[in-house]
This record gives sequence, structure tokens and C-alpha cells, in this order.
Amino acid sequence: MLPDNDLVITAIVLTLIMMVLVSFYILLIVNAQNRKLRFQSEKQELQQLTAIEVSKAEKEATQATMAHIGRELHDNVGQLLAATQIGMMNHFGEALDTNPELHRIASTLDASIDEVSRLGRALNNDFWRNRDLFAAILEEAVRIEQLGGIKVNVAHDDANDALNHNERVMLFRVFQEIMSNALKYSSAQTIDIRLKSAPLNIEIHDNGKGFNPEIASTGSGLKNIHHRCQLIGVSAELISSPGKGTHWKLTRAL
Amino acid sequence: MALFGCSIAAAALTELLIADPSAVHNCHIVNSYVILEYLLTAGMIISISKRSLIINVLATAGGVFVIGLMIRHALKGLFYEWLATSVLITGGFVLALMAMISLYRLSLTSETPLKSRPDFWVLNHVSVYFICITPLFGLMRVGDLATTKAIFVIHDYLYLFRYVTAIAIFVIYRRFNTLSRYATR
Repeated sequence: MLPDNDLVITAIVLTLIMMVLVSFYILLIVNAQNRKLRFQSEKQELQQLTAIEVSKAEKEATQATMAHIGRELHDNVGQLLAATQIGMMNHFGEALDTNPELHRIASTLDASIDEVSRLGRALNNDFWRNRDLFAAILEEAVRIEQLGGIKVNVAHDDANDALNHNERVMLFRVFQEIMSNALKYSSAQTIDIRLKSAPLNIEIHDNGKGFNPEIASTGSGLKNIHHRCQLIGVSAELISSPGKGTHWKLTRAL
Repeated sequence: MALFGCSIAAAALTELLIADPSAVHNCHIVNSYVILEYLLTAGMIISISKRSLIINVLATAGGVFVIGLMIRHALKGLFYEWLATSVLITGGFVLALMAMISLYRLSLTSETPLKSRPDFWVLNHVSVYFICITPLFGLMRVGDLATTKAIFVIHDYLYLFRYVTAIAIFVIYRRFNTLSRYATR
């Protein structure tokens, strides 16, 4: 007995039609999902670009404000203090050297002029274009030691830091944050700073009371240090425990 | 995946070892398997599309209807005599519909490309297979025995597609699971 060919062909054709229809449906779904994923990834990229642009704009605005304050301190306040100094010298003359009270006032005025000038330079971003990070750290270390109460030892190699302008500013701010924390909380007697340029390696160790980093990690100071280092591709490692001082290690691979 | 494995194993056992190649002389085995296949496949789709009300309702309603039809078929005294094509067509349609809805839902929720997901291929396989058997079983009772056997050969090719897809699914599942393990580390 032979099969009914028409019926068999109909069955084959219907099966194929069904298969094509389902495949078409599946293709549509896959295409729609691909488009959705592509759109999501583009949206994410756009959001990242926007975040970068916003952060760049914020940074530029902050830098402009700081540069303005720096210039004002240097040109305006500095000039006023210098005028006061000249006025004092003209008015009191030799009495400035002979009268101990006047001599102390004149010395304080001198120190104020130096401090305002230093602050003005530090805030002025353009200043960083020609300033070496290690030189700035050395200068800051000397200043901290002069404030009294703490001994700062700095060991460094002679090479230049090989950093760009942004990285220098960022690392110097990180360094300032670490030093400020040490001065405020550690009750340390000595701070040892080791600087190495290639590969960049900055180690800051204080012999203070130390702390548990896991408990203190919620503070914005520590977060700032890590965040700033992350932005310039530097790893910031903190080793500290109660009674054993604090050790910071900032490194960047070549 | 365990349900999918059971489903494939049951299909292979029924089609390749127990049942007559044309499913004409031992219909009761295929008829019993049809119910088992519905339950396994529906369970699989339910587990893939978690917490979907429409899928749960469809699976339950379809299940009740399919079992009802099979009981009616048996009450007519045809359980041992003839393949329950109405059960096959209805059950296949419900399963294909559930798979297609799940596919749509998966495309909306998946964060990874569909082709790299084993559940996509499982649903794909269910949709294609169960939609394609509808005209075959619909036409099976129209002609004579020779025509029925000839039409059943097309079904064998669909089975071939089913097993090839199953192998691909297991390969993708292995890879997907390995990647997931790495991703969660």
C-alpha cells in the first residue's frame, strides 16, 4: 500500500511553515534583545562620559577658585603685609633691632609674609607646572618640623618624579592629608618619609598610637586618600594597628 | 536542567527503545509518555520563568485539559488502539505557547546575550518541536496506515533536531555554569 503523497507533502510543507514561523519569532526576539543590550551599553558609556565631564568641570572650577585665592593671598594680602613691614621699618628704624617687643612683632610679620607667600604658591595651580613633587614634599616636611613637636625625616633619590601636573597636585594633596591625619590623631614623635621615583614609591611612617583601619575606614579622610590615588592609578596601602604606628605606602607600577 | 535531562531521557527511552517506530502497535506506551512529557516540559518552563502568573495558569489549565482529553480518549476505549493525537496537538500547542511567552520574558529580563544562555535554547527547542508536531499529528488520522507511517518519518527528523539541540544545550549549560562560577568569585 502506497502512502498518499499529497497528504505527506502537505504535512512536510506545514511542518516547514511552522518551523519558519517559529524561527522568525525567535530571531525577532534575539534581535530585539541584542538591540536592548546595545542600547544599555551605549547608555552606560554615555553616563560614564557625562560623569567624567562633570568631574573635570568640577575640578577645573575648584582649581580656578583655588588659583584665585592663591593670587589674592600673594598679590593682595602679601602686598598689604609687605607695606606694613616697610611702614614699620620706616617708622621705627633701628628701634626694631634694639626693642625686643618690636623685634618680636617684626619677626612675626616676617613669618606671616613667608606663610602667606607659601600658601599663595601652593594654592596657585600654575605653580605646580614647574614644581617637582619631591621638592614640594621636602618643603612641606621642613614646614611641619618647624611648627614644632614632631621630627620629620625624609629620604629620597635624586631623580625627578616623572609625573604630570595633575598627578603631582593629586599626590601632594594625598600627602598633605596623610600628614594632617598624623599631626591631628597619631601623637607621633617622628615621621619617616621615603621617596623613590622609578617606580614611584612614597612611604610615610609615623611612630604614633596607630589605629584599626577597619574601624576607621568609614572616615572621609581615608576615603579621599584612596579615591584620589585611584583616580591617578596609584595604589594606596595602609598598615596600622593600635600601638604600632601608621604606615602608608603609595606605589605605581611602571 | 534536571527536568530537561529527564524529559530527553524519557523521550529517548520511549521513542528509541520501547515504542514501535511508527507508534502504531504500542500506542498505550506513547499515550502514557505524552502525559509524562507534558508534565516534565511544563515543569521545566515553569522553573525557567520564575514567578510568572500567566505561565503557571497556562500550565495548570493546559494540564487539566490534556489529562481530561486523555481520560476521554481512554473512556472511548482507544488508549491501546490509537495515538491520542488530540492530546498531543493540544498539549504541544500549550507547551509551545508557554515556551514562546517565556522566551519573550527572557528577552526582556536577560542582561546577557540570549544565545549564550542554556534556558534560551531549551525554550527555543520546546517552541520549535511542539509547534512543528501540530500539523503532523493533525494529518495523521486523515490518511491510511501507509500515509501515517510516512508522516511519522517527518516526526523522526524532528526528534533528530531535538537530540542535536539537547547536546548543544548541555554544552552551553556547562560553559555558562563555569563562567558563572568565575564571575561570582
